[in-house]
Order: sequence, then structure tokens, then C-alpha cells
Amino acid sequence: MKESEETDTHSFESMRSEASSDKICSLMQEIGLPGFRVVPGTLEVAAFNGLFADLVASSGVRDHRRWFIEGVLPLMTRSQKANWTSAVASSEPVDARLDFTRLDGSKTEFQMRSVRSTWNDADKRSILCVFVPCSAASFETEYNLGFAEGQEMERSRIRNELHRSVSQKLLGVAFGCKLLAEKIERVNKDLSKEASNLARLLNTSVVDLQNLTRLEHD
Amino acid sequence: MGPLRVFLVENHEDTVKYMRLYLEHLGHEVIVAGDMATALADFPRSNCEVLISDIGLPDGDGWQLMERMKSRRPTFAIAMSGYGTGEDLHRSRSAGYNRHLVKPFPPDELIAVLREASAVIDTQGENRSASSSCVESLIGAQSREGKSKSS
Repeated sequence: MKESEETDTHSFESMRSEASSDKICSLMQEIGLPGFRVVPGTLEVAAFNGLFADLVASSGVRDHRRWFIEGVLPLMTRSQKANWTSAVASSEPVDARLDFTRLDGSKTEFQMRSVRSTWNDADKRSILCVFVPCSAASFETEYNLGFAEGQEMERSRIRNELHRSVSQKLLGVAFGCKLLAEKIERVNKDLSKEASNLARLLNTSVVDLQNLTRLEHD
Repeated sequence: MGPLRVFLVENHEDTVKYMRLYLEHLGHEVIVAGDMATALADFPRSNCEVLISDIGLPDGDGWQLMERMKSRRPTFAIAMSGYGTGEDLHRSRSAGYNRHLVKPFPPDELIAVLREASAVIDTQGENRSASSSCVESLIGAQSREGKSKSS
């Protein structure tokens, strides 16, 4: 019995190192997401990463080939299962929400996102499944930080673009328009009034844009 | 406001063209430089009282330009920039600019600042003429004293 446990542990460790050699699964592990590849049709787990193995360990199932069948499928509702199996069979992307129970009894909600793996030719027939924790506080924080960073990058791009191109051109146009309005005044009062209105409209736009870019800065 | 001698440092062609035309239309004399090196070379011999400079220049920035001008600085300096944070305004003030305009600004805003520049230049001119007349009267008194002693 003891010998059998040791063998089991040994084969599990070797499976973990085997799993880490799978590039796409390793990549998922690097960004902190449990992931595995499954062969469509047979639903056999072809490769997985260490984070996936930790989930396997916490569920008490050590055979990664049985893990998906015994550890994941029972967590799905009947309709989810039908939807997922059908989507995977036709290599369509599909999401499913699953509640995993940890060893301490706490529940963690994951979104299992499944897409066709296009890492290389040999993987084309496999489906990549990634677990994204949707209720974990760390994920929420990371997501919010990433989102805020993305927003700031976009603001910065707009701000620089406004300065580099739009505001420079508008400044030239504003002075040109004002000059035109004042020159026309000497020739034709009515036309000058129209030109002045145009200059005033442009000035308002200039001030609006100025306020907008100022708000972006503050 | 009387005519001013304005030194404009800006590398955006359309901005330079229309700003120059408009300022000349108002009666001011405008001398243009497209970068910091040209501005540093041409400004001292231009006799301009007012400097209008973009902060973003191809070979440096408007703050560096003011620092390198040292004792040959203009009487009144106006910074122009697309950026208008508190830090930008503070840097412009520290560099020696009297005003910092955020692009794009309406022409009337520049005219208002130029009126202010004109008032500052007039006041400094009056002070200078007052002090020079004071020096002249002092020299006159000293020379009269010298003459009376010698006689």
C-alpha cells in the first residue's frame, strides 16, 4: 500500500514536469492561470500546468486523465455540459462557470474558457482550457489595476495626439480666421460680421478643446 | 497698446505663419526662429522686448532656452504649450516666463497678454528714463561743483 502511494506520488510529480514542458500551458502558468489541453472527442487531458495540478491535488484526484471527467464535469450543470461538449467537438470557443471547493472548504468561482489551441500544427486538434478566477480578490484587484493602466495609456495617447496635431493646427487656424475677419472688415462690413461669427465659433471650439485637454491633465 | 518687437520661437509652420501675419497686422514687428539654437543666436541682436516661445522645440525646450539666455533675457516672456498642469506652469514661472498659455488658445488671449507686456515695458522704460535723468542731473551737479572749485 505504502509502495503504491510512493509510486503514485512519483508518477504524479513526473506528470507535473511533463506538463510544464507544454509551452502553452507553461505560458498560462506564467500569467497565473491554471490551464490544460484536452483532446476533443475523447475529452482526454493531453497536457496541463502546475496550477492545474494544484487544483487536481486539492480535489484529491491524482490521475490527470481522469481529472477532467471526475473533477470538472460533475461541477457543470447538465445544460452547461451539453453546451460545452458540443462547442468543444466543433472547436468553438466556449465559457463555463464552475465552483471549486478548496481543501479548507472555501469555494472559488472560476470561469473555464475553452478555445481551440493554435500554438503549433500538432496542437490544432486540441482545446485549450484556462481557468480564470472570477471572484478572487487578487484577480479583481489585478484586473482593476490593468484596466486603470490601460485607460491611462489611452488617455495619454489622446492627450499627446491632441497636442502634437490637433491643437497646433487649431491654433494656426484660429489666428488665420481672426486675421481674415479683421481684413474683410475694411472691405465689407456684412461679410466681416459673418467672418467674425466664424472666428468666434472657432474660438469657442478652441476653448472647449483646451478645457477638455486640461481636464485630462488634472 | 503701441507696437512691440516680438521674437517668436515655434517650429509648427502653420502656427508661425498665421500668428506672425496676425501680429504684423496689429502693427507689431515679428522675428521668427524655428528652434532653440537659432533663437539663442538671433535673439541678442534682435532688440526684441517680448519673447513668445513654444515649450516643445526640436532641439530642446522653452525652459532650457530661457536658462541659456541668462542676462540677455527679454523684458516680457510668454510660454506656449499643449500641456498646462500645475507643474508645467511652475516650471515656466521658475524658468522666467511671465505667462504660460495652453495651446490651443484664442488670439484674444494672446492680445490680452501682449497688452500686459506693453504695460510692463512702458513702466520699465519710464523707470529707466527717470533713473537716467537722475544720473544726468547728478553728473551735471558734480561738474558744476568741479567748475566752481577750480574757479
